Amino acid sequence: MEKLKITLVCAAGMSTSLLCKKIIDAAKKKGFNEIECNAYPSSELKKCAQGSDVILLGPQISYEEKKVKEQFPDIPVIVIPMKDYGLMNGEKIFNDLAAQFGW
Amino acid sequence: MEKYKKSNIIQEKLLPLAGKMQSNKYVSSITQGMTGTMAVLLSGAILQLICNLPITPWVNLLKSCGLYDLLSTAVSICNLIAIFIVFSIGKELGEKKGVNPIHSGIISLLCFLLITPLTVAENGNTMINTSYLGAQGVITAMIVALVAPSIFAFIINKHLIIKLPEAVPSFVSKSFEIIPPALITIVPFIALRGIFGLTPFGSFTDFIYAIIQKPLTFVGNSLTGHIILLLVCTVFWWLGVHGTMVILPIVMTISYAPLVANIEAVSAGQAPPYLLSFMTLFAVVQFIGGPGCLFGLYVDMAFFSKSERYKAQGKISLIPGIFNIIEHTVYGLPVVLNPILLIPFIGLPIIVYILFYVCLKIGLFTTPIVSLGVMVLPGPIAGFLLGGGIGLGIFMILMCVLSAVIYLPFFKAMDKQALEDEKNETA
Repeated sequence: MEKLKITLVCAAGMSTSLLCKKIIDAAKKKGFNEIECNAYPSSELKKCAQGSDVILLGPQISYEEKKVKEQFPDIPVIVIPMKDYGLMNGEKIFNDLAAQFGW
Repeated sequence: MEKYKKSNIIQEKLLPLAGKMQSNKYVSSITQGMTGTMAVLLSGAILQLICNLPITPWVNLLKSCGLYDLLSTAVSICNLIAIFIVFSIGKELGEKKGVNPIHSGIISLLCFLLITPLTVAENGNTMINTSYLGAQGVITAMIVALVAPSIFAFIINKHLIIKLPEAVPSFVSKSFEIIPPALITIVPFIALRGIFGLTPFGSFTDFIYAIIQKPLTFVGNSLTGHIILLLVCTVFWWLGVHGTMVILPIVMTISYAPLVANIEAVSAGQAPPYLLSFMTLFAVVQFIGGPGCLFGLYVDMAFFSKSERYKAQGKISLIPGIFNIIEHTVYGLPVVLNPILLIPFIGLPIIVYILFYVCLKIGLFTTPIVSLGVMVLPGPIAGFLLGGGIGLGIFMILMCVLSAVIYLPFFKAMDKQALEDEKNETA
């Protein structure tokens, strides 16, 4: 799989947008040239997350996990670990995902 | 890791609560709907600032060329906020209930107007008293915007719609389809108008204002009420949950009307009737580096760190932090479940708010009358734009400094610990 779509969600879409770039950089390093990674506020998720390979939630809205899983039963939903999120460790987040899904 | 386990019990109980509140259709419609009207309040507030700059020659110039009256009228129209609220919340709720959002918003507006009193002037013209469409009608607008779309969507989802043969163009059949739900939705509101016309209140809007809005505003916007909200907000953040989103629907419901009432009063040349409103709370929750008044902590981290760990964190946190984005610090430092930072993180906003209140009380500056719902505005700048005078701007800067002073000893303790850990690791 060379094409990837990762959707990030937080309350207003601001804090996770900083993380997007880092995830894209990490993915490109691994050879995923057609990567799409965008951040949205949770209220807009319904419109934007279609066709994602994975949906990542910021830890501050981990309480939405169940709701998002119900909305998108076919897409894996993962809450970003607090530490990786706080340190904006896009590389580790991406590598963990790659290991988990065998990308 | 031990400390994480202990508080898991609290988290397990609080997390679903926050989740339930946020995923509740009605609660999130209020939050999103109210946020949707910010543009109106913000426009009105900026026009008002232009009219009321504390520079006499400027005001005289505006008055002499007739612009003053024109702009004041525009401000009053921006203050008819209940109309925008009812449409905006009605639209959000309609969308969540799976019906056409615009239809839902318009039906809500219609129902709101249906219960609004009309006055007949001496020359026979009928008029709507604009005070019903402004601050006084805010709670009524919210109630209508939750009830009307619910009825509307219920009827549509029960398929009580007129079905036309398939040969009819869909545009035509669609406009017929909404007739029964629209009619059924408005009937109860017509009835409300009739019933409350017979009571001493005179109208449903007056009834809600007297029975719900006035007491709610009084209790909710007391210093105690606001401090409880601040407390809830920071405690949730400390547990790792977006506390601002938890308190926002409550804050919107109780403290929006006082803000509009203040703006109305000032544009009419009177003193603002409420000391505390949405904007006083927002200024402290958001503008001093975000919840927890973290502004100073970012600075402490960026410039006073000795350990590698916090030096790195300071680099990440400073820039987003100045724009009140706290997540990196909250999860990276972390603030979450950090026993050392618990006291300043929860205590500082309360101290700042009490200082704010005291300054307002003794008149060092006036209460904010600009609805500055821009979350990413740095505090030292935001203070000058809130319409509370130069004094408020200086106050906000001082609070950012206070934040740096208060957080410093707590941060030093953490930094020292981290430095020792780093030494041990290399040794």
